[in-house]
Amino acid sequence: MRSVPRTDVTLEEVAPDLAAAHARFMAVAYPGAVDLVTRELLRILSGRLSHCSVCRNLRLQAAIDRGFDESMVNHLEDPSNSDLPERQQVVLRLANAFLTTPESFTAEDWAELERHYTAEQIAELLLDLVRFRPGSKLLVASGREPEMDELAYI
Amino acid sequence: MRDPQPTGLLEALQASGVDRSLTPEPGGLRRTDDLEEVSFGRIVSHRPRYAAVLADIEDALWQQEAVSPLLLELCRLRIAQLLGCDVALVHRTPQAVAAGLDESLVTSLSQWPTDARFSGQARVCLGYAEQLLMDAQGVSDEEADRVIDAVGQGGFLVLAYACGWFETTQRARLVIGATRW
Repeated sequence: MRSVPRTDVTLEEVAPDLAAAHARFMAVAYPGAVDLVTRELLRILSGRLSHCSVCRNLRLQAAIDRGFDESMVNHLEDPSNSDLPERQQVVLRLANAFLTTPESFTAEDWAELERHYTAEQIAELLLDLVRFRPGSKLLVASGREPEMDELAYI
Repeated sequence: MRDPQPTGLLEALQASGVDRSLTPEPGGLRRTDDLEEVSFGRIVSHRPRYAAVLADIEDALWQQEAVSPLLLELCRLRIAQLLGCDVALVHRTPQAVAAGLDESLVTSLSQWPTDARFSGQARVCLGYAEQLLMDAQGVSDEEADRVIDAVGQGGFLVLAYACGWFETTQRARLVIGATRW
């Protein structure tokens, strides 16, 4: 983890349209069609697998208010051996496959995903997975992670 | 809460190359009985307001001036090779083609470390792209300095975001089993 910036400039300064588009991507993500607790699990898992301290440590108070519990985080990489609901397990299997070996998400997995989620919800889950990692890569590579590796609540 | 259908969405998607021809359809997302229909754009179009920003990011990415479209395209294709994303490998970004993309370089892309036709700048960027794909935490200070020397601080930042973008948009195609870009 590196918290010493490697550049004197920011993406906003060198590619303002790109930075603005990324900001819009985040702005339109919420509120959404999938429950916030499930999306929070997805976001934290992406942060963990992307080795991004901000993403893996950030907790949305709104998700906590809706039932997110810190113990859920223990099962992100191995949801099948957890007591998480099936509808959250299949999302975590999707995210694990997406971020490691995408082809391992089988037709049977897709069928299960479609049993639990609407087309709009699946679109949202995929867009979340597309959205998280580019920002994480930028943050990590540019050396702009926080000094303290600890949970943060917003 | 459902997204309203914004005016101009289809035009935006078409302009971006994200998806070209569709309106949201109910059910049967992956259409495995009709593989010609499997595309990322079709699936995400069910969340139109969110999906529309994909076009904004693609446009901004290929129009920024810190990194040339030729370097970006080589990095995008190298990531596609490493991920095994065939639909990304056969796709060519119009801005890169317009800038004079050399297909012989694309053919030799896996030999970039030793092929003398790749410029020093391209090699630094491709090495950075590969490291970002493996683990951004593994970018050393020395490598960061090389990238900044090659494309400037702005290029260093744009490449970091761009490579993450190329990765996740390709992973999305892989996870859905996309049959076209």
